[in-house]
Amino acid sequence: MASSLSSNAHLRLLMIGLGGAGVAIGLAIILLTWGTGWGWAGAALMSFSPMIAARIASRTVDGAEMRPALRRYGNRLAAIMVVYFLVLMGAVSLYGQGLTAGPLGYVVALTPAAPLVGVFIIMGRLLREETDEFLRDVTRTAFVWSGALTLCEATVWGFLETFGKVPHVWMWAVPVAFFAQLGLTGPLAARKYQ
Amino acid sequence: MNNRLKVLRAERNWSQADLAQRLDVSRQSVNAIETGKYDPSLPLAFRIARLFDLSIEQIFSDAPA
Repeated sequence: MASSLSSNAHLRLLMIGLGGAGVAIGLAIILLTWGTGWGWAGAALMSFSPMIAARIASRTVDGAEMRPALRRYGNRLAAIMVVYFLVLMGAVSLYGQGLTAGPLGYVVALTPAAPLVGVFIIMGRLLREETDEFLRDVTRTAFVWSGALTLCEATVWGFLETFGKVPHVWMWAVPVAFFAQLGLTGPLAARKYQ
Repeated sequence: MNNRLKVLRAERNWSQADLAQRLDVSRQSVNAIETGKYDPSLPLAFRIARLFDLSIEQIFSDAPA
């Protein structure tokens, strides 16, 4: 029993490590290859590695359960992220070719935003569909902590940027930071009950 | 809040997973309730009480341990 718990803990740590490593490597690829086509690979690695690691952990750790609502959430999230990347690549490609002038440009610019807004809707559906009140509470806590953390970071960065101390960051980075930080706040929120 | 969930479960030779399945909740949920780290809502407390055929007060207590 003890060895089983220990191996589960190790496997969980390994998956968290792999997810984190994917994010770090993806970020490094984006920063080191800025302006080249490799940024897409980095962004994809950053987005998908935590999801894949979480899915592997949920299927391989003894006693880990994939509740129906969580399974639907994972499937929807994976699908919408694939759509997001395809749409984003298309929109950036059109922008690069100078085809986003005029009113059509607004449509092209807003198209990548739609899947990201959709992620928030998917998160809301998870809270609505999860019938286990404890898991709902942990998930809600993780969302609130990640939201608070992201708003704090945005506030600090905004003032630093206003006073010319840091470079400009596009606003779409705010929800991306929120989603990324869920990988941290989720385990922290669950830890309170362990 | 204190509870006798672990004792009641052991009397029936149920694992946490067994109890979780009977209550239609996660095993983590049962563990958190048993260890007193999570207080169930009134509807869940009623479900637990019905499962063991006891009153809520016979399972949960707000008296110091």
